[in-house]
Amino acid sequence: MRERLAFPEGDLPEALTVLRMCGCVSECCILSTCNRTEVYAILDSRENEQVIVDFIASYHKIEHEKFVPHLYTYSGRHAVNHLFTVAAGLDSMMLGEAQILGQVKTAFCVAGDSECCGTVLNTLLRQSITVGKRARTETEIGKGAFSIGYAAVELAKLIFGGLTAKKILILGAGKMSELTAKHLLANGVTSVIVSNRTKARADELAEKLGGKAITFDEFPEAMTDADIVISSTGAPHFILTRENMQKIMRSRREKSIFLIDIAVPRDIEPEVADLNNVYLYNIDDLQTLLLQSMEERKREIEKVHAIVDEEVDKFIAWTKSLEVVPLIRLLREKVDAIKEGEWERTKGKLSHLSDQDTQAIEVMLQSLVNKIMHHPMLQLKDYATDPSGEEKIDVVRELFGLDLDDINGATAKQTAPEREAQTHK
Amino acid sequence: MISDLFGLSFIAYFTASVLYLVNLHTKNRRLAGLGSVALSAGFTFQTVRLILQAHATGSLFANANEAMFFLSWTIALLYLAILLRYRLVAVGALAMPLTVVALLLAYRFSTQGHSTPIAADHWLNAHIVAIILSMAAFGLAFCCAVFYLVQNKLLKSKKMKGMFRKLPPLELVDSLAHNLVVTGLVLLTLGIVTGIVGVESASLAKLSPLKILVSGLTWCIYAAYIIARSAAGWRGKKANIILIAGVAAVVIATGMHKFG
Repeated sequence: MRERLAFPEGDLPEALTVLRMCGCVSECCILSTCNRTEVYAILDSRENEQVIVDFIASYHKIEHEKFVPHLYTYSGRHAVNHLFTVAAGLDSMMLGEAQILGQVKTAFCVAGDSECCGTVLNTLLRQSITVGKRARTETEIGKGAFSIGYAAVELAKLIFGGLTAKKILILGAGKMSELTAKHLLANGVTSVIVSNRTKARADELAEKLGGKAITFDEFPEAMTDADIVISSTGAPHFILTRENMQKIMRSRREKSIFLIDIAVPRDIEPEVADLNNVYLYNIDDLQTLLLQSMEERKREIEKVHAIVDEEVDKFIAWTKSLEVVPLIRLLREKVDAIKEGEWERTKGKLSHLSDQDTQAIEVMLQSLVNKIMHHPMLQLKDYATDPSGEEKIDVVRELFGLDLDDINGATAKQTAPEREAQTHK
Repeated sequence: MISDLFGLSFIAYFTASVLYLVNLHTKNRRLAGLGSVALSAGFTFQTVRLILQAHATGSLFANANEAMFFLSWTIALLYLAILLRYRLVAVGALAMPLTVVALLLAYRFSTQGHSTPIAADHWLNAHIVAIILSMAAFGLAFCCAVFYLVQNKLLKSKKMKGMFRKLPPLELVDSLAHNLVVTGLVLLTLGIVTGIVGVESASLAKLSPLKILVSGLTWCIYAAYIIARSAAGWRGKKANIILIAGVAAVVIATGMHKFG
């Protein structure tokens, strides 16, 4: 189901344009990853949520019954909270992983390029990225290992420090060793040698990783030079014994070596670990490390939630300040209209004045209006974020006789912060 | 003013020691930064004091307690350089206590009347500078060795808990310790040579054989470390254990010293 509802990145601009055509959608953004599809939209009213569901159905040509039960919908504060939680990595399968932040950024860029982001979504998405960054710098949620490959990189860094100029040797060209090697390569390792019983597969993997292939018999020699060895052959017995390793260590002049045994059954005799400067980790050790990292990250969840809450409050305060914008405009227009009306009526009677004088009077009138209005306007903006502000705003409305209907008309299109996140997991 | 600066640098280094030590055991990342601030403050106090003192007396270490003060300053300087170059925050948890100990010794010497002026001979001055610099280098090599051994043990036992992520990479501390020892050994050689020449030229009392023996032993231990590490395949654990023994010899040699 998840796959059926995904929006490939290339199709996003088109999808966004279609969604905007719906009429009641003023701003929208689609976040589509391998794990989630979320539609964020600013609607003119909450009743129009259905529009988004219809859009998903028609875009993917799928019947409502098939996917609606898998949907979840948030609006207002909850929607903001959801996006920030996602960006912080709290909603990811791998708690705290960083990829999601990049995906939010991409979604934001695509929506921006397709001109689907207005003031509200722009601020929302920008702030969600801030939340993601804060979570990762202020807490340990992004720390530690996220996969076997990550765990291997972490350990390698604890042994060698920087991984540039380190050499890896892969024994057994399997999927797992390939993934692990890729992680190491992404962290600065430059040289790869692949050794496999079937030379052709070694060649294939070596080409993929930009390395060199050797025959299986040559591997003990290659170990003299390697810093990290990833072993995952299908051999039923140990391919590396303590005795062999001792010889290798002598030829290495005792230089440290990191052995990763991800084969089941084991490739490397466990006693090899007793040798000095040999650091042997098998798949179970790496799993333990992974679980431990996970546990440590779990302890950070609360701190991240605190950051999310703080940022949600900030954002909601901002949208509230946005709500008084139409009221302020209406007030401004009303006062300006009064000024204009009075001036038009008086201007006729002042025909004896020179152009310069009439201009001076007009400037004076304008600045009089500006000065009178300055403080009430500032105050109105403050009321917007004030918990008891609503009543005060009503007083202002009454005081100046501002029509409620007019305001609603003005608000609807521009600022009603109705967002919804439709997700498929 | 000069004694105020002594107290202030002591407080600063003590604070830095505590912060760096606690940093190893907590997740709070600000502690390390605060530790470095305290270290920088202490270093500034010490530098100002050294300048004021050199200005007043015309010498950096007119007596034993000032020589110890200079040692503390040298360790701080060297660690600061390592911190800036390699970001080795963890090592500070040992390097900073070393500066504190040096300051305590300086204080003790000054109250115990070890303030007989050191013979103002330029050979002996060179001897003291070289010896102090070599002691700082050996002291920091010792810190690196301790962290090497702890981290090695943690990685070997696969107890991937607690401070193991905060400790420095093995290869980095290992090679840093090696470089420090090479530098320290060159300086120690210079120190021993200038010391002998200085004693001859100032026609002081003959050196005690025991003192020569201990200095020679210290020299041998560090030379053995370099040889063992590069030639005999004693890299890693064994080589770093030698460094711990080396510092013990340095401490004994210093304890026997009569400063001129």
